[in-house]
Amino acid sequence: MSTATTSTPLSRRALLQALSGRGTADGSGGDILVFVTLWGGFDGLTAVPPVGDADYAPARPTIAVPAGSAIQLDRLFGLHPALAPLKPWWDAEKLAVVHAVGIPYPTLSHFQAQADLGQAAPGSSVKTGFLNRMLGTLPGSSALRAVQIGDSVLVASLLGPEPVTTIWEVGSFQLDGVQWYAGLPKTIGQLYSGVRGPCATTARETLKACATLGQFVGKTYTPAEGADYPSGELSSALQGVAQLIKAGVTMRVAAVDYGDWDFHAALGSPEGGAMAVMLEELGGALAAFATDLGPLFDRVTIVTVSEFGRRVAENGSAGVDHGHGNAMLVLGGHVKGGRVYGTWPTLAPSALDGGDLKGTTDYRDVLAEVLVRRCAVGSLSTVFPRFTPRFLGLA
Amino acid sequence: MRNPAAKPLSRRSVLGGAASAAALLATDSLLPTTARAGAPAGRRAAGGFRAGSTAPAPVASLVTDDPAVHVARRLTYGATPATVASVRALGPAAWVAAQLDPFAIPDDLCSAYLERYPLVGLAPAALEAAVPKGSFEQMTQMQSAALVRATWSTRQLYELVCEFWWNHFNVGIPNSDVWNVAGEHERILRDGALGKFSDLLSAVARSPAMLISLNQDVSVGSNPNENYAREMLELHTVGVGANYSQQDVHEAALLLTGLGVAGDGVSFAYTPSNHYVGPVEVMGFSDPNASASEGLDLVGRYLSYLAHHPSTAAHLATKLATRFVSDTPPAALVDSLAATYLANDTAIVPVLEQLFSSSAFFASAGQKTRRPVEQVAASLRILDYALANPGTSDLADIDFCLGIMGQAPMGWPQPNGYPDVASSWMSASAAQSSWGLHLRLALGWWTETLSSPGVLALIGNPAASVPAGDVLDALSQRLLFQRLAERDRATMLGFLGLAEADPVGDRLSDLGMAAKILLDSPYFAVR
Repeated sequence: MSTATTSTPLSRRALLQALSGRGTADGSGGDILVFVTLWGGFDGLTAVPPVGDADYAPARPTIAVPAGSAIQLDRLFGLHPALAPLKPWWDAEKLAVVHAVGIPYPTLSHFQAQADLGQAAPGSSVKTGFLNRMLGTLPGSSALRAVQIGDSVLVASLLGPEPVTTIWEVGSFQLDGVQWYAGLPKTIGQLYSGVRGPCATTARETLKACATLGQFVGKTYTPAEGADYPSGELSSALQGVAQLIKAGVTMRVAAVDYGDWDFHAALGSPEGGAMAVMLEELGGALAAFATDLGPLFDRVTIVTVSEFGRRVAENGSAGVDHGHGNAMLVLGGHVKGGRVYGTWPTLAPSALDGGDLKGTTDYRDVLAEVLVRRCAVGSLSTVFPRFTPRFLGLA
Repeated sequence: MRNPAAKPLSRRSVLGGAASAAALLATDSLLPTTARAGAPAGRRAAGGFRAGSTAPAPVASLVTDDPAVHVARRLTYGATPATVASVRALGPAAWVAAQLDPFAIPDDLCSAYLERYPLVGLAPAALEAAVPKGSFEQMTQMQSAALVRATWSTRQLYELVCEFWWNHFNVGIPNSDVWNVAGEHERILRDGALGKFSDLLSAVARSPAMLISLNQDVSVGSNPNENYAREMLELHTVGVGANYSQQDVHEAALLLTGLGVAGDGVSFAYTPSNHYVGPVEVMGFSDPNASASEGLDLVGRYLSYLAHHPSTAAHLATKLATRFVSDTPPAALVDSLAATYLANDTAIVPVLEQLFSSSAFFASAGQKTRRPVEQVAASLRILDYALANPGTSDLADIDFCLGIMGQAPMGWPQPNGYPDVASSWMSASAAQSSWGLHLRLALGWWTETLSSPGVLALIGNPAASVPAGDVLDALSQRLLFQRLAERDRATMLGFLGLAEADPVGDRLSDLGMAAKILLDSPYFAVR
């Protein structure tokens, strides 16, 4: 476990800048936040099972991860064996887990919870996404300062007035036709100049992205030696992020999403099954990404979130219905990892909240600390309105 | 929401907060421009709005508000000269009335094209006899057929309504769990699309694809699965804003137990022994539920109760107005649609008739942004494309593009259906793909599977002596149904490298690229 209390020079600078209420002048200071949305309701109790909690195995007679199969993290928690690729990063104290994380005003609706999580402004009329608001507080307006790789439909946390660029695939993003008519970007740009609306914003971002991403077109990406990405969409997306980072693109946020984790039925056993297959890609892709970046990993912090956890007790279909408390993974060059953060409320029947793991840490606490200490965000008052974060000391 | 045995879908997606964020972003709709205020009805002066002003103007202010063009654009997958002429000849009300009686409209070309997709419409037993077990073939044919119908059916409004209901009762495909019942789900929705919502809700509750994808098939009284019960309340009926509790969801799940799928895996079955017996209460609906043998009747009463619930009326009215009017529809319109819905025993057609004759509808030209399917179908329609090579059924290239753009037909993996507001579709990926598609379509590079008369033929093969300005106007009239704003005309003349009065000359060979640019422009990005 890391007990470091001193910051590295970079993080101290970031912290000072944060305390002074501003980011770096050129907009390039601070880590790139890689925001991984595990949609569908990630079961933190399977990914990071509390094998040392006496009530865990009895609540899940057919799907609990046995203590003997879990990769031991500490006296209470294990890591699902399919997440084994992350173990070296835990041992290197770059991977932290926060457990029993909740979102305020929990709902069991996927869509409401996804919206709530992305807006991160409960009880207010704010409907933009918190990452979009964060972009609004940071200096700079370079192309691709916020990207979503893979999905063409924006996640809730990125919705808002600050431009966000979706990129399906980094290596194939170009303005078709520019080969024959070099003035094409200018002409299209003129037709969109002086007008506003979603399609105009999108058109301008598209032109900027085409200009920046032209350098990658037609080139095969080769990850750094030793980075072994599993096949799959999460891997493809993270390789795209790595490619942009290595090329020096000034990103502040890179969002990728990976799902569907909604295992109402047949979640599987630790030895296999549907969730293990997805955990394998999750762990393998995150570990490969971290390896691939090499020294640049010092400039990156990855955070995983999901709209809610799953019920503690397994249902009649060997799955778990929608629940509440969950686990978040935080992985980065300057994360104080090798430790499970948070307050464990236990799975004792009397400690549950309507059958669900209680959320004892607000997910905004985790994000706020990462944003301030790692991403050079100065003021949190618009990012997380009416919220006073409690830092856990993980970043 | 998912069934874990399903083969993972080919795309990642998540929606959150889209509808509520729409208000922040889609402000096009709300700000009348001075140019519009001063323009004669139906003839918004093009070109004046930006002169002398540095403030950006809403995209909608660029777009003609000619009611015939608006109706022909908004109530189809893309206006064509024939549709505009038809709306003009009949008048909007009669045109809408004809479209709402779809099976009276001949649809020979589309029917002929659909013969290339023989698995579409096959009932489960026939499908199982025709393809190997687990085949995705019917589902992929359904996706291609959806694009065929969107592009070539004369029953355009019916197709839009069918798509609306598919997304309302979404089962994302392809998905291995529903390989043999997805077609049945589509049949149920198409049959009920213009009937009463209460009947549609009840028919969907017998759709094996719905029951399987939301785990109702494994929900039993001793151990209920809440998935379908919750989504039925949240998505299909009263909506997430309605005042129901977790206890309501739980009791709804108990109430629905017994609904499921027969041993053949493809037929609806009610199994009394799976049904929970005992009093149930959901959102003011209560029943002693004393007998398992009467459980199916109880479900019928519950569904009817939900269908007639004022919150369901408001939810459906909001969704329809969002689909057909604006990302932020006026509350008065929503209220009046909801009242009409309830007054007509949940019949859908009267609601649509009211919607399409409302002043809010006619005031909304250009206020909706085209999503990828609408963008692609509109491009094919406006360029007069046909499916080439009889025997070819391959629209795979375009289907692939739609996947990249984030809107493979019927492909949204979550049960809430594709988002319907522009803020969720501010996608550089989608724009880049659709601009690439415009290039290939306008230049006629897709000859293996598609054929078009070509851009020059669309404007009557102008002679080289015709002035460039006239050729440009003819092109924008043909593709956009309007003259461009003056500054945009100048931009396009600049592209051609010609002055207004210059003979177009050999720049006729650049009109394909000019057409592509017009399809990329804001005029074509909205509907």
